[in-house]
Amino acid sequence: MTEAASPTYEAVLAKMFAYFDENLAEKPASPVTEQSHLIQDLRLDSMQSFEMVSDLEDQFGITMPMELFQHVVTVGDVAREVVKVIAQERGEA
Amino acid sequence: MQRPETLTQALDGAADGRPEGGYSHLVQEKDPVKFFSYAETARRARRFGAALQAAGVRAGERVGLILPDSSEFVEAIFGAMYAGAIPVPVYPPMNLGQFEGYLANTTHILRQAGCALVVTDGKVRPILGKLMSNVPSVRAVEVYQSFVKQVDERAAPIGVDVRPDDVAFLQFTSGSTSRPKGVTLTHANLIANIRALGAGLHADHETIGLSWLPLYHDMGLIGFVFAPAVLQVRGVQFMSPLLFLKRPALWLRQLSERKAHVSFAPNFAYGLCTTRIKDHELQGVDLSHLRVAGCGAEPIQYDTLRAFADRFAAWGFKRTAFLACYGMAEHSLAVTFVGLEEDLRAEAVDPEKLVRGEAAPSAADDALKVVCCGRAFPEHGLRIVDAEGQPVPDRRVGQIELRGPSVMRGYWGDAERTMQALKDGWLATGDLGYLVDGELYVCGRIKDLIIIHGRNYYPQDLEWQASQVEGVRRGNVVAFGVEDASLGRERVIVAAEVRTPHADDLRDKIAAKILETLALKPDEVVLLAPGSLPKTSSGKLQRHKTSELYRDGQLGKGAVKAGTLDVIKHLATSRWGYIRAAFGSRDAED
Repeated sequence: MTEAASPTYEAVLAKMFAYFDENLAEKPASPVTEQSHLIQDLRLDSMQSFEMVSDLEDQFGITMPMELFQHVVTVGDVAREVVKVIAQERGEA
Repeated sequence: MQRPETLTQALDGAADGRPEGGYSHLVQEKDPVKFFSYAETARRARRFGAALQAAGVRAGERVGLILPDSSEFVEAIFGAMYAGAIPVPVYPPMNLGQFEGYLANTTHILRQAGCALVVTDGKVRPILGKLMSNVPSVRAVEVYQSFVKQVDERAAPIGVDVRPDDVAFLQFTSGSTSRPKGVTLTHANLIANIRALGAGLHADHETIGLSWLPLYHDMGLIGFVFAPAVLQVRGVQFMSPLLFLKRPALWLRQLSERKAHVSFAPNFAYGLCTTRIKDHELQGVDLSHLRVAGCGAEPIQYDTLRAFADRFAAWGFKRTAFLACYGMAEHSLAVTFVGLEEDLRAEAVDPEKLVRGEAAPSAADDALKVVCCGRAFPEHGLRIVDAEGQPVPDRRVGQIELRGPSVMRGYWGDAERTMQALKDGWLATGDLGYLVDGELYVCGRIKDLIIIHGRNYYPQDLEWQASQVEGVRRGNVVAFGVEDASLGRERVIVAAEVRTPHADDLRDKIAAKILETLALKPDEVVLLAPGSLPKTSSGKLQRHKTSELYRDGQLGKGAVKAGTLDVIKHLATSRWGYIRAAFGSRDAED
């Protein structure tokens, strides 16, 4: 696997938008963007946030650190974390 | 070997008697499992105790522990006991910028306990911010790793004599945010309860336990930190609760890998496994070693457990492994267990008769399933009483009361509520149930507690947060939960009087406020015109009455959604609600 094959931030975002499209029970008032706040806009409770993370792990074959939720607030924050973890894991491999 | 009378003696006894036994810790999925023998745990715990003494902590002083890492937590809680201090476990912050609510909770707990010191880790420390200025008793907030390094690796506390009647720790599990209750348990309480539950589980020197339960909660702490040392089992493995929530399959994979015999979880966890785990995540998993899959800490739904058993039978899960139990922190941990290897049993009872407080078996389709939680332990008393406190015969529903060596000493620094809970040696549980030939069936709660995913939420807290939202009539909010079999948990409803009833964005704002501050998402927010909520003649809001109106579709916009609730659930909630209401008048707290 080469560095170039790693998904970009935009690609991760696209996967996340698709995920929310499929899984959000209540549609948010405005379309999901990278600035969407996980709690305030998307209304994710803790169970749903964990579910989202495990879905991202499955999609990209990665393992997200458990402290993740101590510093992510928006959809973009999560996507950046995913890109970072992918880079780290590929670096180690 | 002499039987231990304190938890410190128990850990020393395990260190001598089971040199190969101990605690294993899985904190991050990809990290190797850390193992510390009982002896090594005792050594590290003593070092922590010595560090507490070096920091000037005296016997009987309270020490707050906010430690997400299970190995640090185990060492710290035993260590505080070695130093004669009283540890106060506090849950660590979980996620997503909910720090405001978290800090408020933590501040109230530390203040109520009068903690002299708080020990946390390097990640949580910055979040705690100005905690010290808000809790005057706290002299310092220390980071575990650097704190223990202040003393030698072999250091141990000196001049401490831990006695059975000393307070072992404070368990903050109940009470509303602003007035938390610290359940005060002695070493003797804990040893008595652990002896009894150990016998009920047939725990022996070969037993292996596995738990993802939070260690700041009684089931994880007493059941999997203290009990293994007292009973000198072969070992226990912890995995982080966050790991379980993220990937429930990991629980089952670890159970298989460790060939674990005993695990416990609240009802919701079994439901989560059934819905979230995919078959391919369980390759090679074998659950045939698991002889006890305990279920407690929240109301047990027969259908949830049956679905789990059916789904995971293919991986060797035995339905008879389910051990339904009833327990509460005020009774150390466990109150009743069903017999080992008994099949899960539920009684179908007539909902109409239950309204009148009688549990009559019924074969009708609308019958309610109530799970049997088994018998009280030897040397422990359990009775059912009516609203006047008089014992009632079998099959009559009433309040569950408990007596015996496991009953707490009281609520820390709260004589008033201790007196409300403990009368003539009997502990009033606030739970409703009935007995049949000595076996307990738990029906519900008298208090308006909302339990979601094993966590207790007080309606008052939801109501207060909703009242903070601009446009809501302050103090005119009612929150309540109704049983919802389709959700596998309670459905959380918030009814708020607003100045402009059609301001739909207020519904979102209220839900968001509660989610941000309490990490709980209301299932429905009902907006009402001023004066819609039922009040007593003295102007007090009536929570029971509100939930009755809601169910009957008489409460503002709730009518439409309530109509979609399925019939059994509807009956169930009205019945429990009715019985609850009949007892509710005794509850002076609200």
